[in-house]
Amino acid sequence: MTILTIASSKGGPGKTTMAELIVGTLASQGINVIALDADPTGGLSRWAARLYEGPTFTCHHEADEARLAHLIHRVAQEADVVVVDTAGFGNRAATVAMIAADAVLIPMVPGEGDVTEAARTVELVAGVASAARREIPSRVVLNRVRSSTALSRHAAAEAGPLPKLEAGLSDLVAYGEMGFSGRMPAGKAGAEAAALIAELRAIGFLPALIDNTTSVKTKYVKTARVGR
Amino acid sequence: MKGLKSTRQAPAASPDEMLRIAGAAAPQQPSAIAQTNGADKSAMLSVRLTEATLEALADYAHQQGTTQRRVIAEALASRGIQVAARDLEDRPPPRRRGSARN
Repeated sequence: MTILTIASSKGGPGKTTMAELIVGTLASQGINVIALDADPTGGLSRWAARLYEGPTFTCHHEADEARLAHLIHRVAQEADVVVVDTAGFGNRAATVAMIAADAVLIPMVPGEGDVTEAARTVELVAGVASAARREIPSRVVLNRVRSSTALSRHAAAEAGPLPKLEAGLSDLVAYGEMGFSGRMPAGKAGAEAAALIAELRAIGFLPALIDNTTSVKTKYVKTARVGR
Repeated sequence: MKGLKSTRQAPAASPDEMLRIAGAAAPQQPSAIAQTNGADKSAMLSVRLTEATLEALADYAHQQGTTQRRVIAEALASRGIQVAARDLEDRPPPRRRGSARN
């Protein structure tokens, strides 16, 4: 059981898109994944219920912090991976999701305000980890990156001191289309999603996929978590 | 579904502990959903601001692919003001004001 919370104290960095991408990709790999939508706007749960086309996964919508705490506790015992999408402002439900998390992913789009808010979220996770008296690693992941632009390069440089993933998502129409079509992206976007999942596995944010060539079956084992 | 060899069957903290830690770590944070006490009838708020501010708001909402109303609602919520859940929803569809210059 691994709980991955996607959080940011700012609206619009692509938390729900990131959640859709991760949950859809894991489901397509046969992983028993459950999505929790802790954003009162319900974007992830609407997408899962009305649009998503792919292997089934369960999605719950709960933005009340007390009910969310109990829900996380319950579904964590039913799933291999739980992905929690949170609202884009500081709120109790997001903090509860961070406390429950094994790791926190912080999407960030290029922009001065976004770098500041990403840093604030990293600090909040560290504060929550301190209060919980355990390690809760976090990573910033760049989203809507146009690598050729000075803005993206500047934002990446400004985010330099923050714990950051190598993988990121480009500013591709395919991600927006995923939100409308419910289909997982292919092509470059699909490759970026695969790279993101691979890095999350490599650093222990997601269970590692072990290809056992001596067996017909594929096994998943949990790797050591970052900082442990 | 494929199985996962897990080292842990439950979250590190119990639900009550999660709530206690959340209250201690960020006591000023509001709930994500407001308790409206039944007063969920919508009403108008007319605020006079400079055109530059309104243009900036429209541009920001357009960049984020959301509504100006939601940007304002999120800003209020981030200051600890109890905002009703439906005010945080992306409805009606995003206005395209400001997009003509793109």
